[in-house]
Amino acid sequence: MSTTRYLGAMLLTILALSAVAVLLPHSTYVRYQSLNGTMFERTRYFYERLHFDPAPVDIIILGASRAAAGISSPHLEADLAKRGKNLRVVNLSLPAAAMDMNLVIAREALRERPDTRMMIVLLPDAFPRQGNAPFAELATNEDIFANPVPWDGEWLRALGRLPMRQMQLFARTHLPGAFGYTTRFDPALYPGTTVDRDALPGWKPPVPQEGYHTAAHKAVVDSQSALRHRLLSPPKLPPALSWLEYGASQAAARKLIQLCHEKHTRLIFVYVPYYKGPQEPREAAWLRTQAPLWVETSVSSDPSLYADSGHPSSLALPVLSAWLADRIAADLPPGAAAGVTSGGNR
Amino acid sequence: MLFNSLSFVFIFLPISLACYYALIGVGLRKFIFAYLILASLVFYSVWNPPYTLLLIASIIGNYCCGFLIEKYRDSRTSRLALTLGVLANLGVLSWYKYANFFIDNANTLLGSDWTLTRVILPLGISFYTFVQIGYLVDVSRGTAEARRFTRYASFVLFFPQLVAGPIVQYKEMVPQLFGRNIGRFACGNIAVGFTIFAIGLFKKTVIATTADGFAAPIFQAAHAGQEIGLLAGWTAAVTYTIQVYFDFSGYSDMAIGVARMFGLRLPPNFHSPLRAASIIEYWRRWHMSLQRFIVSNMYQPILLPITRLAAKWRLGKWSTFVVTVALPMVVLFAVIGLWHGPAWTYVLFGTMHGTYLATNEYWRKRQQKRRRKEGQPGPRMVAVYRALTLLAVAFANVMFRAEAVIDGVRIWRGMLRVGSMSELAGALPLRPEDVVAKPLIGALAAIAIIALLPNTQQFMARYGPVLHWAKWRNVAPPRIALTWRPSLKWALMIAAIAFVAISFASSGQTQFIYVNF
Repeated sequence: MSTTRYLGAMLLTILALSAVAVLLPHSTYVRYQSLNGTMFERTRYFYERLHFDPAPVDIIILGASRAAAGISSPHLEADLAKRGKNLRVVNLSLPAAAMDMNLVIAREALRERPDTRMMIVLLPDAFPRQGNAPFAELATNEDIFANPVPWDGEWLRALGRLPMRQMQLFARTHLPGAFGYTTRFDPALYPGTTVDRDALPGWKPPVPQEGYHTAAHKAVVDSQSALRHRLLSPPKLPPALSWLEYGASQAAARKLIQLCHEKHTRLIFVYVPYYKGPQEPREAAWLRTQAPLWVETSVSSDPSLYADSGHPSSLALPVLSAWLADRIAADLPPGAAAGVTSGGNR
Repeated sequence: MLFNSLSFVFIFLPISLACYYALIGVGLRKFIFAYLILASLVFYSVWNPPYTLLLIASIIGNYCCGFLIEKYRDSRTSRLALTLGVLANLGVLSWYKYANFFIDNANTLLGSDWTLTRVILPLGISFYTFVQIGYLVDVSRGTAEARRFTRYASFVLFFPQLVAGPIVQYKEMVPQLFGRNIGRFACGNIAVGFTIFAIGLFKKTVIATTADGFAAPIFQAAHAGQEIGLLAGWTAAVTYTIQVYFDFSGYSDMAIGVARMFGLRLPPNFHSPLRAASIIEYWRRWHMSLQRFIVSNMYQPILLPITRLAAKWRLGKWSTFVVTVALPMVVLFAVIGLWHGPAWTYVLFGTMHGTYLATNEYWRKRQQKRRRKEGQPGPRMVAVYRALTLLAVAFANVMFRAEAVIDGVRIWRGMLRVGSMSELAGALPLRPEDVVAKPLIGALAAIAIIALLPNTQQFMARYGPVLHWAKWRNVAPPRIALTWRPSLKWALMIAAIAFVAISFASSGQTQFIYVNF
């Protein structure tokens, strides 16, 4: 055999093996446990809430750590109830989540809960240039192949990791005990239907040592905010090439809008700035053409409402919750979705 | 950039290879050296761009020294340039590698409180320093020339060997880099090189990384002050021995494979050292390019004056042995231990091996007469010697891996808890998941690979995989003789190996042990 043919045969074999590996079946529950032990560990709870908890899901919150820290499901449900809306809220925010990750979670949520009434997406200050690191672990094959962004490092990483991930998930599904996984839902370990922001494993909202109402805290968040402002770099490429610079986020945002449209789920964009941050997200103009954009900037000048410059503090929870409840109550038609409470709080 | 990163496998390597052969293809062969220098600088600077300047400065400085040594050959200036060059290299290495170590130890001894900003160890500094010291010595001996800077820079920088060896010599690299055969047999070289690279990648990402998963928690527990049991102690020693062998020999295979894809052969670095029946043999076949450097540049230069001294003192047979063999070996290996890193664990590791070697030499001398009469030892004795060698190596490896001497001692203590033999039953895989959750099956598989299969060079024997291959061709033949040739069977096998290795690499890049040195 010539060396050229040898090299060709090797290449074809590697491609064939990759294809077989990608097609290996696995348990989605196991996949949602693959971020255990990391700051993203709450994904297991996401899956359990969506698949094993019989309580309805009326409103889904998506976003990054600012959404995870600033929106409390129990607060929001209570505020909605006060306004005559018995709705079940699930906060599926994941720290550092970019739009690609929001799309992955939204797909899983609406696949299982197609009757979800509202999807609230807390926006970042500007679309990230790159995708999200846990995307490679959580995305389905469809998420990866149907949304190719070859110039995005995270998408490439997800693609490169896919064969191995599928083999690992296959092995973990069939030998869960050997890898510390489970394929059976254990109600005793389930955090509950409506859980507060601190009750989930993994990332925790920061708590300042110096207290919220001190000059020291103000100085800390002021300097953090200044740094954050400097890091919020303007686009490097002209608008005509924004698809190249922000391709991963833009493509995922479009798919998310389309998904909600297909499932008849009301999509709302929400923006809460960082401390002393901009008055609206950079992509506000385009986003407003796609769905309502609710902006809450009144909190952004009070340092006590921020644990650090990027994350609302526990003091901000009632403020943001009341503001959001007002908006949701006004947006949903009267008498809409009297939530069933079969699951109950645990 | 590391060989086991996806960016190297999928981006840097294919692009650098394509450009290399494209340059040759369009008749720009004379610019190949410039291209290789540029590619190597890109490869190196991905790690930490400012330190590329240090590398460049080091190359310029050493070239100047080499130039002076050659120009004023056999004069005082030449000797001065050699001394200054070697000292400057060792000075830079000491600053970056040992400054904090010496200050920490001085503070402990003197109760002082000197501080120094933590210095980042430049990638590959131990290796490129040794390559350049070797070059200066070779120029002074007349076995290397110092004429064209481009030749010298290409030789030092050639990226496959830059970060962690093999430690190459000028006379073996420059004729290849600037010879007439460069760029010939591209497909053949790529096929051979990729096969060697895939085997190396498999060794690293599949075997070494898996072994680390079992060894690391035990070493961490020892570091946290936990007592180590018999089973845990032996698990740590065995799995780490497997890890360090497959990690470094895997790295060397990858370096040799990548160089071969560019049509160049590197010297061998491993030749089944864990099949050795003595420590002397083990060190001839473990990190061979370092041993060659030690013998040529450290052992030989001190041996002659010491032997003269022993003769002058009219020492007896065994006193001469102690002064000319045992003591230099222990001291040299303690220094080589320290070369691995600024820690007492490495010094102890080196001292242990120096002592092993001295003991082995003593034993060999004692056995010489007997062996002349009775012949070489039989297979049973060889098996005993092999077991003994492995045991000694595994014990020393515990100290090599430990973060502090006391951690290593804790694991040794665990290994010697012979009163708790019943613990060993816990190693048996009783449930299906134990096959992967416990190390026994994996360790046995790795041991079978070491004991029975050909090493990478033997597997690629038909295609002259490394320099000086004739010398090693018949050493330590494998039990199962497999030899590669470009056939469909091997294309499928190597593709499967490459696929698994790349898949494991995609799970997250792990550092090579020797890259940290």
